[in-house]
Amino acid sequence: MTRSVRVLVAEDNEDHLFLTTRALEQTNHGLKLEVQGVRDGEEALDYFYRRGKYEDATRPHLLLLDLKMPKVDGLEVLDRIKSDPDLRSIPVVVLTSSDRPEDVEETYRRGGNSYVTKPITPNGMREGLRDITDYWMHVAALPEPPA
Amino acid sequence: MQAAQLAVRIAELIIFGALALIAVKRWRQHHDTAALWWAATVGILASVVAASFLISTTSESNAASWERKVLLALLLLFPYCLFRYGGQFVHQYVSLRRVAQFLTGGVVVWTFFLPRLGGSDAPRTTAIKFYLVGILVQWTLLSCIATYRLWRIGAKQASVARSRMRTMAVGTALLNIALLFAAFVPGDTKSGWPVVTGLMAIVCALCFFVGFVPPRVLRVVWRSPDAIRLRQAEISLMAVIQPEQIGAALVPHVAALFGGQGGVLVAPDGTVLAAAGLDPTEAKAAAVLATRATAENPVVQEGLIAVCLRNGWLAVRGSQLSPFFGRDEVDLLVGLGVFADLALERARLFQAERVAREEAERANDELETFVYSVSHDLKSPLVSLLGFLDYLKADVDESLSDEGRFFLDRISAASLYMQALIQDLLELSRIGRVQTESTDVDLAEVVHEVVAEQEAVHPNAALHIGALPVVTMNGLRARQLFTNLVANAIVHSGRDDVIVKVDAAVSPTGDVVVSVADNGKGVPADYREKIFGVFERLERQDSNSPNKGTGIGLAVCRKILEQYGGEITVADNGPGARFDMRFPAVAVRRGPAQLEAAK
Repeated sequence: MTRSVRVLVAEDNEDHLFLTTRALEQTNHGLKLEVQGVRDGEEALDYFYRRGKYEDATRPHLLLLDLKMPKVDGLEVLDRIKSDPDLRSIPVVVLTSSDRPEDVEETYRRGGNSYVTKPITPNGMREGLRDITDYWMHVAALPEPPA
Repeated sequence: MQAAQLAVRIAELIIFGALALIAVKRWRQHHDTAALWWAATVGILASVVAASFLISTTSESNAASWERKVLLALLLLFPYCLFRYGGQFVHQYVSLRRVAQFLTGGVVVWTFFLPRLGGSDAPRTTAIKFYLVGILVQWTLLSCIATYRLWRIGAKQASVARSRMRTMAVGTALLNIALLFAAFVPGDTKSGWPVVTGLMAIVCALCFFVGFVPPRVLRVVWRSPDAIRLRQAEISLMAVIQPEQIGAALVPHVAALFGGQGGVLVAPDGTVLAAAGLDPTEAKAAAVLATRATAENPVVQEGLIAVCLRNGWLAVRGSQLSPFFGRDEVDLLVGLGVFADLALERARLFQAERVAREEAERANDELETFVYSVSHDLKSPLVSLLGFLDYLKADVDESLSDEGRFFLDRISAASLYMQALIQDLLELSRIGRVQTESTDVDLAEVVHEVVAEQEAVHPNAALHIGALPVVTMNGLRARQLFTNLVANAIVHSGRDDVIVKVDAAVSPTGDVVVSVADNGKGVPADYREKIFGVFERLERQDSNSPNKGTGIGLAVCRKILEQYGGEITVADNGPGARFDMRFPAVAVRRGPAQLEAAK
C-alpha cells in the first residue's frame, strides 16, 4: 500500500497555488500525495487549529509556506506554529518569490526548516518542487503529524 | 619759581576740573553708586584745587584760618570717597567701613577743633604736628586700601578693565606720595618742592583721567593681548561647524576683549546660541535687547552693545569696571560680527549641504527599494504566465496549427525576455542596496573562468588574457563584471571570429586600468556614454533572442565599479571597442606588473 503524505500549501496567489499543486501532484514518487491549499495566513492557522470550515482538517506532514500573504503573513504563521508545542514538529518549507537575505535569516531564526526561492520558469518550478518532495519524503524522515 | 608754581596750579585746576565734569556727567548717565563715589572723589579734588586760588595762604586772620579748616576737612573726605569707590567692586567689610568712617569723622572734627590754622609760612606747633600725623594715618590707610582694591579688582579683568583699574591705582598711590611730600617738606615759595608736588598731583590726575576715560589709542594698545587670544579663537573657529560651537569658541573671547560682564550670540530666531559670563535669564534678556539691533543701527543701551549679523546678533554686556566708551567699540564689535557671520554662514552651508546630500541618498535608497519591489511584484504574474503557457503547450500543442504554435512560441519568448529584464533590474537594484563582502580577488582567475565559459559557447572567438591585478572586491561582482563585458564583446562584435583581449596597465597614480578590447563593430562616439544607462542598447530590441541582452549589463558594470570607487569608460580600439575599468589604488592589492615580477 502506498504511503499517504499530506502537504499543505499556504499561498495567496491563486495561479501560483494552482501551479504549485499541479507541479506537486506531477512529482511521481510512488507516494499518495494529498495537497491542500489555503489562501492566506489566517486560513493556514484555521487549518492547523481546526477552526471554521477546517473543523475536520487533518494536520499535514509538511507545510509549504509563502511569506507575503494578506491578513497574517508567512513569518507570523511560522512563529505561531514553531511556538506551539503541538505543532512544532511539522516541517515548514518557506517557498517565496523573495530572495532577500533578511527574509532568509528571519525564516531560520524563527525555526523554519528550509527556505526556497520560487523558481520563475515552469521547468524550474517543477524541478524545485520535485527536489523538495524528494528530500522531505525520501532523503529525510518525516515525523507523523500531530493528531 | 612762583610763576612755575602758578602754572602747575592752573594745570591742576584744568585737569581736575575736566575730570570732575566727566565724572558727574557719567554719574548722571548711569546713576550707579560707583559713578557717584567717583564723581564725589574727583569733585572734591577739583573743589580743593579751585578753592586754593581763592584762599590766601599767608593771611593769619581768623577768617583765613576757618577757610583753611573747611578746605582741609573737604580734602580729608577725598580718601574716604576713593575708599568707597574701590569698595563698589569687591566684597565690602562693614567693620572696615566703620573704621574708615570713624577715622575720617575723627580727623574732620579734629580739624575744626584745632586752635588756629596758620598760613603756609606759619611755624608748626606741636598740636599741628600731632594733627598732621593723624591726618597722615587716615589718608595713607584709606588710600592704601583703595589702591590695593583697585589693583586687585583689575587683576581679574580683561586687558582694558585691568589696565584702567591699575592706572587708577597708580594715580591713587602717587597722590598719597604727593601729600606726604607736601606735609613734610618745607612749603616756602622759594624752594622747588611745591612745584614737584604739584607736578606729581598732575601726573596723578592724568592717571585718573586715563583710567577713567582712556583715549582710543590706549584702549587699542590695552586690548592687544586679548586681540591675540581672539585671533586664536578665530583660528579654532575654522574647525567647528555647529552654530553652538561657533558661539562657544567666540563669545567668551569677545566678552573678554571688551572687558565686559559677558556676551551672547543670538540665532536668527532669537534663541541664545551661546552665552558667556551671563546666567540663562540674563542671557535671554540680553538676547531680547540684542534682537532690536538692525544692520544700520546697532543697539547701545543698558550697558549693552549689540550688532546685527546676517545670521543673528552678537552682543556684549559691559560691567561697571568697563562701561562702553565710544563708537570704536561698536565698530570693533561689528568687525567681530563679520567674522562670526562668516563662520555661521559656513555652518549653515555645511548643514544645508549635508541635508541635501542625505536627502539625495535617501531618494536614491527609496528608488532602489522601489525598483526592487516593483521588479519583485512583476515576477509574480510572470511565473503564472510561464506556468500556464507551459501547460497550454503540453495540452494543446498537437492540435495547434503551425501558426498557432508560432504564436505560442512568441508569447513564450517575450515572457522569457521579460523575465530576464526583471532579473537584471533586480540585480541592478541589489548592487546598490545590499552590502557585499569584499575579499582579495585574483582577476586573472576570474577572467580565465569567464573565458572558458564563453569559449564553450563561441568556439570561433579568440580570447587572450594578459597580466591582471588582484583587487579587493566581491568575487561574485567581479565575475558579473567580466561575464558582462566579455559576453558583450563577443555577442555585439558582429563577427564570429572576434578577438577579445583582457589586459591591465598601472597608471602613475597607482590606479589599475583593466581593459576588455575587441576588434568588432565598436561603439559610435555618440553612444559611448549612453550605453551605460539602464535599458540602453545599440541594437534594436529583439525578443526572439534574449541572449543579446537586456540593456542593463553595462549599467550593472558601472554600478559595481562605482561601489569600489572606480569607473568604466569605453573607447575606440582601432577596429572595435575597448572598455576601460579603473580600479582605484586603494582597491588594488597587487598590481599586474608586480604579478609579472613575481612570476
